[in-house]
Amino acid sequence: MADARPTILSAERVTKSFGSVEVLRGIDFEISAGEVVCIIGPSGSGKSTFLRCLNRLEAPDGGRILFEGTDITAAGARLPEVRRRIGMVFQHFNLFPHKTVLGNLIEGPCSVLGMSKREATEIAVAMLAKVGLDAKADAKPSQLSGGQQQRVAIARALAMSPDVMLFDEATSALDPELVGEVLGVMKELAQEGMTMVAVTHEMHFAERFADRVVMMDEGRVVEEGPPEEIFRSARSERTRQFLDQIDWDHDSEREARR
Amino acid sequence: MTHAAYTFDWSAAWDNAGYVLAGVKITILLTATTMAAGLVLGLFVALARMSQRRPIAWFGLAYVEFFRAVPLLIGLYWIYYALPALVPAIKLSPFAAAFLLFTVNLAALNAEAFRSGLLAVPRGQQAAALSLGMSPAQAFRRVVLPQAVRRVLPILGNTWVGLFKDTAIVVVIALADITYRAQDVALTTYRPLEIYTLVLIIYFLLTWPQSRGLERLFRRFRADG
Amino acid sequence: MDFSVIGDNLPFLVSGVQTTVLLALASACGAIAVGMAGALGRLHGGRVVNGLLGLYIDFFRSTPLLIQLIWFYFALPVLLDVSIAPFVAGVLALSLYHGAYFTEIFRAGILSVARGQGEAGLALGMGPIRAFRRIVLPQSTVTMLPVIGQQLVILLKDTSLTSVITVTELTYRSQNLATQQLDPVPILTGALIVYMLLCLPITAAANVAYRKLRT
Repeated sequence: MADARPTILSAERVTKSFGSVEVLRGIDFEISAGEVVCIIGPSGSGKSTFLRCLNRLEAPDGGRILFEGTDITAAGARLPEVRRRIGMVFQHFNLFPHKTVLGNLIEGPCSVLGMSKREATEIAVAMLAKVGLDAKADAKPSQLSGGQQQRVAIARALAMSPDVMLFDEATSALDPELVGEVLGVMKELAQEGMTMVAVTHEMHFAERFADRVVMMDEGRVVEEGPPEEIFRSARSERTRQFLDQIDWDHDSEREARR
Repeated sequence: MTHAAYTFDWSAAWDNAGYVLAGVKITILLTATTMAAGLVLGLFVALARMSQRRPIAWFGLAYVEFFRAVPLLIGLYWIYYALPALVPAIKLSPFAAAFLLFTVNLAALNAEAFRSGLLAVPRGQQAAALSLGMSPAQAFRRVVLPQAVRRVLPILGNTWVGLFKDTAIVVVIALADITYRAQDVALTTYRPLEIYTLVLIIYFLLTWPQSRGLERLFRRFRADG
Repeated sequence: MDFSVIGDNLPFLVSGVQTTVLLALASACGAIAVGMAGALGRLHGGRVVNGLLGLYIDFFRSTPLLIQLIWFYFALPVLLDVSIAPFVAGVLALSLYHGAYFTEIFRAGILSVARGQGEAGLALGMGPIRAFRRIVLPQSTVTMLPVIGQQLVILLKDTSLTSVITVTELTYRSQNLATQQLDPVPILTGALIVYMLLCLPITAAANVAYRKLRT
């Protein structure tokens, strides 16, 4: 397929160390508008650190990251402005406990985008409906289940109308029965054409909805390609090892064994 | 061996209760003014403690550690007796000396409270605020600080109650608070048992409701996070 | 400022420091014993005992230590028709006052050890007392070390209040000398420094022990 869509985010030879520990050893990455990319790999591979570099919550030691043409690793980069257009969803939700659900959603549009409370509330209500939680607008985060809190967190990020959404192991802290409701929202976003980078352990989600899967290990990109390739016939031994370790059981493999 | 049974004479206590109680004015005045000044000074010490510049941060730390290790009573004696000897120009009334002592001591306590309140806010909160596009200053003002304040207020409530009790030591520099007046009465009526029991009860009735009340007031802060 | 006055009166002052240390040690033992008994009483003594201990704690924590010291030295002897030495009154008051604080500290510490720990002990066939002694208590003690250290420092500082009931500890002696001498500065400053030298090791020891022992 001719890829005429613009590159939204790209990373060139990004390196990062924490003290003496090299966490990222030269990552190259690219994502185009409307693409959904899932990053998989064992813990300690640097996946989350890399994701957090994409919105500069972490500062790379070396290399460049470009967002819509702007080098966000450069010295004078205006990070708050950049971050307005990148949405992030955290593993532990990080909702503001001292505000209601609605309060959480209007915080960004009001204090960052300068909207009036009324405008912001309209958007907030729409986003809440989108994730199926309009009934909970006046609740406090502590009154919600984990899955509900994460959906609110997604709505909060969406309320800023970002160009790209970053998901940092969005379902890893959830009880199994709550994972589905969050993945449901992520699936809808993907189908609506949102540009998404998701660090995830949910392989079935990646297989079905990702345009591309990136396998990371020990600070490097081991392999990347379309899901069919990665999950069914990975070229790298390390990838196959990893998928084996997590007991990945692709449907066709199961069928083949029957 | 038989002891004559002690005959309680509570009239000594009742008759003088008003006089003793009048000392509460000084207690409250001292506590309130010290708390106000101690909050402001404590803020400065906390900022110093968290400063990026090494000498300032070190000063903040030294200040806090110093007052944690020095008894209030010795400090009071030092300010009342040693300071005027050191700097002859300074003439301190008992109230001024007490105010000075309690304020600088309180600042150290408050600085630690502010710092622990701030550190207790999870780091993810700032990350979330930044990810929405807030500047670090905005993130602090709108997300981190409100949560820190909620955590600090209960501690400050405890500090207030502790201060209220600690002011009793001003009796040694003849400041006419409850304790001083009680001592006065006990000496003149020769009824230490009744008088001092009365004083204990007075302090209890003044302090305990404040303690409980503040606890209840701040309990809802914990629920909200 | 002439610090020689300290040297001139060194034995006098040193005996004051000795009394301070002795007083602190005796009161610390008393307070910890009271605290342990109180905590166990509150946790396992039944509702009445828990309620009474609660009252004791509320009363001793809501009244100034100074008044308690005065009461134990001036009022209690009248009540019991015995004479009570200042040092004894001091130890009594300090033990009961800080015992109230230690009760709550120990109670919180014991509760903070997960229930499953004690249950694991019971499952292995230990009696409840042994399970407590060998599993719960050691773990709770380690978590509580910093707080215990803080409370002990406060206790040490509080020994200075006994000067008001004529216990001849450091503050009493320093204050005595300072009002007699022409220059109170060196003596009172010296006393300040001694208290710091006594307190800082306690905090340091508690923190070091905590860091080494926590798993």
